[in-house]
Amino acid sequence: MAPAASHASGAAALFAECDKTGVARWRAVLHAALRGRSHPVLVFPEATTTAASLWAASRLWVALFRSHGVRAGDRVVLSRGPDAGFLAFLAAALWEGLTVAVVPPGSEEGALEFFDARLMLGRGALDADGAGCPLGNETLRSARGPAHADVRLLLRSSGTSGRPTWAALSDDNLWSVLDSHEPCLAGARDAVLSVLPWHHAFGLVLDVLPALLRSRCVVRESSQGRDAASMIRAASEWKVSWCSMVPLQAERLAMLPDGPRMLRRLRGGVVGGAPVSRHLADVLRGSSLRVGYGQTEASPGVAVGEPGDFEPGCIGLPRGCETRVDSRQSLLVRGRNVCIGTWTSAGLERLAPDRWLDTGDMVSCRAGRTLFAGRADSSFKLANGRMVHSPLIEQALREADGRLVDAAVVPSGSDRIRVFLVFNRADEEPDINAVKRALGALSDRLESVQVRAEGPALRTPKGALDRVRLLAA
Amino acid sequence: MSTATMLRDRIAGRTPSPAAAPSSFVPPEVFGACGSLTRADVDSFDFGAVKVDDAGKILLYNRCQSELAGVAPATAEGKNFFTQVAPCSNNGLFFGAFKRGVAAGSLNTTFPYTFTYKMKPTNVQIHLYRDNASKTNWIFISKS
Repeated sequence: MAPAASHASGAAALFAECDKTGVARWRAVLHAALRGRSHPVLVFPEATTTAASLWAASRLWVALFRSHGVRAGDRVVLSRGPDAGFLAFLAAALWEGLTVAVVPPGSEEGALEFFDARLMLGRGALDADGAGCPLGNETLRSARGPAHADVRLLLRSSGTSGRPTWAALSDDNLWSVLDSHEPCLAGARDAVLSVLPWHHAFGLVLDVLPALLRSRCVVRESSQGRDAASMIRAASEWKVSWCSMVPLQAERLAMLPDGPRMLRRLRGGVVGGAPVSRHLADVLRGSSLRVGYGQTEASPGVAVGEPGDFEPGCIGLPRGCETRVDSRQSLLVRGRNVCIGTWTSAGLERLAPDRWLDTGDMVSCRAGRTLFAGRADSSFKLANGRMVHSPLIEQALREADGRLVDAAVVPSGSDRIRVFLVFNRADEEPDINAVKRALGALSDRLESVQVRAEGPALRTPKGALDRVRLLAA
Repeated sequence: MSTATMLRDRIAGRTPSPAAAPSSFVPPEVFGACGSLTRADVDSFDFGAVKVDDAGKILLYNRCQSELAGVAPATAEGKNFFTQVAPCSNNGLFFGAFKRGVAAGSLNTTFPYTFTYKMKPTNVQIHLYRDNASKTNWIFISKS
């Protein structure tokens, strides 16, 4: 078993009122960030909203909650795209100590019943106007189950690398991540370009929420991070100095003439959600961006790298939690970041607070670095009972041939394996000897080596290798 | 009678200012008449119009803006728009753009904004304009 990685000391909490805890702290920080402050905190193509206006809108939501008897611990559903209404509702819910289930827009059908929630901001339910104020006055549901006053957010894991689950995050989980990641979050004079979805833990907890709590100006990019040229224009127009993104967005930026310059000009931001490729690591090395690693179940921050320190697959150092690698090379996480439970149709299932969370990610440790290899669930067993840890073999393949962008090892029948090599060009000749060296004793099981050309068709929305598409290509 | 028609009649023959922003809610005729707009003129507008001096002191506050903001013209006029009447505009984006434009002698910009009227935030369109011929500054405001 590998030794535990270094436990990051609790960073000094620079959010306001750090002597308070739980809901009292949300209130103190929101009050300091928004009330009576005249600077813009939200910039959308259709409106620029000042802190004071967002504060006023959030007070209207607070009044609505109170007039309907919605109390601390009651569940509410937030199913809305990024806008002032999203943040005003969220700020009000944090203020009142409600449990907010953040549901991707378009997935709201049945959400009220699934979360046993009192009300919903979303299609077919309550609405907000362009300034974020409540519209409508729907009749509330009565909850069947108990309220859980310590659960603040219910967030869905992405599901791109495993079965989606709803993580129940407490105030303590969230403040642990915010405090421990504080040096990696937007600073006092930063304008933040928001390109991540707000219903994902990364975009919500590590990007827009800390910007809101520190009263930073958030510029929501109009293409939602899909158009790199639009990102560059928005960054230039609003003098953006901070941007967190997934590797695919950084890759797209890097392909445009002005993209590398924009990435270099940023004062900070986290690149996370999927592994960083060799090519992207070369682009980002020496920038002020950091690599980030996490999971929704860890609220979602686990590890962050130093500014500009990029190596392929590197995940950085743990923050606010401790990590270890078990005998199967799986990464485990323990600490205040780890969610207090999960939400299912049966309600809240509380989990042991001191447990080791199995991330399902296989890693290797080299020269003091922890390197992501792949998802453990892509491993498989041969007919003779031998376990093939494909993420570790794929990592060896990537390291064995500098031309390789990615690699995949998959079963063929019950006792053979196939290797897929992803190059930038489809006419690259694979180095079969390097493949066999990486496979070791498994090389006698090798059925075929197939070459694929790198491209968006092989990638998930975050930029990870999509194995289903790879096999179908 | 619409704002445009009223002004067109009054300034017949005058070419609208070429500086008029193409996407503005302000009729082009208004820009050509900025130097001679009376209280009756601005009170006929169906959008907010505020005339301010180079420091932001309100010289004229029209009826539509008064109804939007819930502030009587007599209360607003003489006060500073950015710091006393609409403190939500006291930031780099709004007041900063105004000061930069006045200093440069060139102010003609539009942008979307959210005002907090009577404690109810409202999305609006803003057009900041300086008429160099008459040396008057205008803040035009239209509810989105």
